Formats: sequence, structure tokens, C-alpha cells
Amino acid sequence: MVVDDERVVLHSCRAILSEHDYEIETVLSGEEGLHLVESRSFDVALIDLKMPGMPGMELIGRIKELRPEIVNVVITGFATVETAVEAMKKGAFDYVCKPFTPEELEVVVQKALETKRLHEAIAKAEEEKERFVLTIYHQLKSPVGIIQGYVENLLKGVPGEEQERTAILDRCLKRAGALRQLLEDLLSLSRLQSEKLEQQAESVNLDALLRELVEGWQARAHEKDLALELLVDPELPSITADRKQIEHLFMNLIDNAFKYNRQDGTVRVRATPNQEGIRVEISDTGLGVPEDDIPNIFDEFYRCRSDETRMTPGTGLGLPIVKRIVETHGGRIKVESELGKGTTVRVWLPFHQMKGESRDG
Amino acid sequence: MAEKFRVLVIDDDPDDVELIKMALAGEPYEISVAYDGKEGVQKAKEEKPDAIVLDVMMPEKDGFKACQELKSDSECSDIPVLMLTAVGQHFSSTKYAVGSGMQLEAEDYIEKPVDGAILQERLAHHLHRE
Repeated sequence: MVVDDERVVLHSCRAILSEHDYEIETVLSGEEGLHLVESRSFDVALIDLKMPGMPGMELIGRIKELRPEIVNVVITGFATVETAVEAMKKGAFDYVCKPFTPEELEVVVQKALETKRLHEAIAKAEEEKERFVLTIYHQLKSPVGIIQGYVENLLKGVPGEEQERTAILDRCLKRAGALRQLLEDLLSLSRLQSEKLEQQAESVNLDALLRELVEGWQARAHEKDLALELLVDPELPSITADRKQIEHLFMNLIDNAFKYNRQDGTVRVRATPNQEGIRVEISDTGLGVPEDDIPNIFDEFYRCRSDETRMTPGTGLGLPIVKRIVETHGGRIKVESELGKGTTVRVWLPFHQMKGESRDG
Repeated sequence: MAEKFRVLVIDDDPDDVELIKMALAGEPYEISVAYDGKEGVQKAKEEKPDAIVLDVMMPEKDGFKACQELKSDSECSDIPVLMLTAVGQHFSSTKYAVGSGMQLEAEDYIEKPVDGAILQERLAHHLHRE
């Protein structure tokens, strides 16, 4: 919106700005400007300070109250630069002196628009932060409340056998363990989401890495009567990746394949190269994921609930972490599942393409 | 004290259920459990309990939806519903605000973690026990 009592200024503003993809409204007085702002909002308002009737300064004040999102720019003559400075103290963002060159006007408007976008981004980030804090609050409060409740009961004295008291302590321990895992996962995710994410790019031999991981899990497989199989192509080339993150990635996926498996089930890890990278498949013969849940399983704190999984500990952050790691390596991930039959997670990692090295720019 | 009241607890967290059971141990209550809203509404219709303790935040069908269904069912609408909310008062503007629980005609609300004494007292009140 441009507000100026001189038609020639309005015309030149329109001529200059219509070269760009801007939608322009021009009015000849402060009153008209106010009227317009009452009915709709703008990104930027260019306002002449010296006008008959409502002065520009007053209009800026009214706009600030009415539509704080509008960025106000003052149009002023050289003689009244001091007034322009005064206007900026009152909340105008910048000023442009008459007569101005097309370039001067363009620069001022562009700067104002950038500021507007920045304000919007900040507001959105604030909102997201608040929502996140609220979510964390709930995620932490519930286990802490439960542990507190159990301990209070124990202190009051639970009637019954020693066995029952041990069972309660065991539940406390489990919830405390889950709480701790939640804190670890929150930290991992926050690090992975950080702009300053530092990745240690090195040559990673997936064959050796997967072999080591699987070996580490064999004891647990035995405990749970699960068969854990590893099928690696003997010609598997190395990839450039962050070793710790890749370990974390497959650790989480194998953990899921264990947790949501059935007795005497199988967990199979298979790695094969294709033209540009390596495909790793982790499949289980477990509960499977309901079709409706699949689009949501990478969401933070999303957990599929059923009678079978109710007692299975989990933070709801495992898969978001996995997805983030795959993304920062320029890879892809896909989940296929059949309820009651099992789940297969397919990860594809390119040979060389970590975050910041994307060939597409 | 011979009379026993039947209370249906609808809550997806088994530890919450356990704590509610502990809070009501020694009182004349017979407790049955449902682990999600859908199952809960079904059980309420079948069992016609004397009171329902209903958690707000649940997957599938949350407490508000479950409450709405119970209250619009002619055979269940008279059963007092005590809603459990994990939300602190300072977050009352959220979707799970205490206030909206009241609009949906739950008879009462109790903030989580559940205080055993409060739960006992409220249950007794709504069941007109002296």
C-alpha cells in the first residue's frame, strides 16, 4: 500500500513496483489508507509523512495497533529526514527520501519484505517451540507421575506379599529406564536437527559394521528365541558416511525388529549394492504395523498401540531419529508391513552423498 | 458395606490402571479395565458399571470422544464419568483443557497423576456413598 497526497509519487511508485511481482494499492490520504487497512492487510505500507488531514505519523500508529504484521516505510523529503528518524523511533521500519530513484525504492521495499518474512519465520519457530515444550512436558510428566505414585504406595505399605512389592519396584525401574531412554533420544534428535550438525565423513564398510552389530545382538536373539540372520553381498563396496550415526540407525531398526517380533520369529538383515548405493533390508516376522499407522510412524512421539505393544517400552522417537539419519546421508527409507505377518524396513544409502554435498545443490 | 460398586477404568497405560487399582484397594469397588476408548465404550454398554474413570489422552478414540459417545447413549448417559487429565491448569488453553471436559458433560475431572484420596472421595460423592 502506498499512501501519499501527491499523485505523481503514487504513479512513480506504481510504475517502479509493478515491474516486480507485487500487488499494489495506492491512496491519496491517511484517512483512505486507514480505511483500506481496516478491510485488509498488506506486507508493506509506504507512507508519506506530510499530508493534509491525517498525518503519516498518526497513520503509522494506527496501523501498528490494527495490523502489527505490516512493515511500515516512511516516504519523506530531504528537508524532513529528522522527522523520518522520529517515525522510525515510533515503529516505522525504514525510510526513503523524495525524490527517489527506482533502485532506491526497490531496495527499501525488498528489505521490508525480507524483514516481514523473517518476522513470520520467527513467530512460527516460537509457536513450534511452545508446542514442542508442551509435548515434552506430557511425555515426561506421565512416567514421573507413575513412579511417584508407585513409590508413595510402597511407602504407605502395600498389603500382600514381598513379591508384589518387588513387582512394583520392577515397574518403577522400567519406567525410569524408559524415561532415561527418552532423554537420550531427545538429545540425539535435537543434535540431528541442529543446523550446525557436524558429521564425521569417513569410509564405512557396511559389511563389517552390520556383522559386528548382528553379533552383538545374537545373545538377545537367543534369549528371546529369535533367529537373527545376516545376508551380505560379498562384493559390498564401502560408503562415505558418519559411522556413529549409521550404527545408531541400524541399531534402532534391529531393536524394533526384535521388540515387535513374536516368539520363534526371525529377524533378517540383508545388504545388497545397486548402482549408486547400498540397500539394506531389515525384516521381522512380528506383529506388523496397521496400514493406517504407516504414514505416521516417522512422526515424533507417534506409537502404534495395541494389546500386544502396550507393555513394549518405546519413546516414539526411534524412527524419527532413523529417518533423520537417512536424510542427512541423502538416502531413502521405506516401510512395508503386513499385519500379523511382519514388517520390512528398506534403507537405501548412496555411496557418497552426505548433507551439504547434494549434487542437486 | 456389603454392596459393591462396579467401576470401569478406561486408560491406555497399564501403570495408570495399576495405580488406580491400588488407590481403590480395600474399598468396596469391583474394577474392570479397558485399554482404549473403543473397547471402553463397548464395555460400558455391556457391563453398565456404576461409574467410569476415563483417561483423556488415548489413541484410537480419546477420552472426549468416548465420553461424548457414552453421554449420547440412552443406556449409559446416567453413569457418572470421571475424566482423568494429565494437563496442568496453566496449559488450560489446550485441546485437552479441563474446561472442555466439563462441556462434554463428564461429571467430574481429576488431574493426573491421580491422588488416591481424591479419587476415592470423588467416586464416593458421585455414587452417593456416605
